[in-house]
Amino acid sequence: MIIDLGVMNSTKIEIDSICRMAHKLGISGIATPNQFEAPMKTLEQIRIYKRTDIKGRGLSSIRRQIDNTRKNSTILALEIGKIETINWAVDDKRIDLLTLTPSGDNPLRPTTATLAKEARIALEVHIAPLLQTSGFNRSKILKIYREAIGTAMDNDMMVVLTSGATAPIELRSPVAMVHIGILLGMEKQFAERAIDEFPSGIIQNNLEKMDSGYITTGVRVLKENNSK
Amino acid sequence: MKRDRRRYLLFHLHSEERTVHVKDLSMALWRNLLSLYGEVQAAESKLYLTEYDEKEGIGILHCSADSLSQVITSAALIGAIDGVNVSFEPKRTSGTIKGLKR
Repeated sequence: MIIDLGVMNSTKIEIDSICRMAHKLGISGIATPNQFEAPMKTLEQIRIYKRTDIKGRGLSSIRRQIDNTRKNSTILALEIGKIETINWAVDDKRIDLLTLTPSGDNPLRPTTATLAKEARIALEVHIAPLLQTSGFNRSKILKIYREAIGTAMDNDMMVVLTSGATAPIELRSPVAMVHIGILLGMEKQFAERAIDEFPSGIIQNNLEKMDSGYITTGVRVLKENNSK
Repeated sequence: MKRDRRRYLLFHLHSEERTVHVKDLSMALWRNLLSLYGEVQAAESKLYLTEYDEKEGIGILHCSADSLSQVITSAALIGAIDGVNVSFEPKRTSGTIKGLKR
């Protein structure tokens, strides 16, 4: 099941055309910061999962946003920023993705990658910046992406390749994404996992956690006894 | 001299609004391959656009077997051709055109 966890468009009109394009390309689900209330819905045979991007620099602001959004978002992503904040958020274990910025201001550090591996948090890499640039500018982004992915792989951290698309035409087919993953320094098998196994695993775990009967990993309420 | 192994690639070029002309597509494929992998790799690829239906956006290109991955990567990273936003979708590969059309 191929799920693009990083479709960044939030307008309802565009979502329809994004779903049509995703269906044509063989993608079965997308996660987007949409305006739907439910954490999941189906449109044009595409499953849409609610994604929330945590913004803010301070620890208290990030903590507050996580508290408010975790229960109603299938995917919670945080942009890689200051190391103290990021390491706290990773150690907190409630976020799903650490989003890499193409500016390179905040690289992924090995300490963060080690913590992320323990917390089963993935590094998210958007490919949209690679489509919008060329020549020297694209080369700089490639360097930043390749270094971060290298750090993640060295520390057994999961990597998730997403489109970062704001328009339908910015989506890419799974096969194209695998080849872009290889360009970014991944082995073919790892690139395949980065677009298939890792994203669907994160979604599956989170949907399980959002289920009303869930208590903790491996423990769930099967039948409630109401008679006292 | 040993003959190079070739690969044929069936693709679909999705485009916004208007169609992309065959010459513009061919130039964009070459330009991106050259920019991403350099002159030597671009020359080694022996990339050639065999067929392209401008209306449907479906076409076949061929290249050396060793550079197929680079050709797909560079084509997938094309964001726009002559002001038209595009998305390159590789469909199938084969050693012969006949195999692709089967």
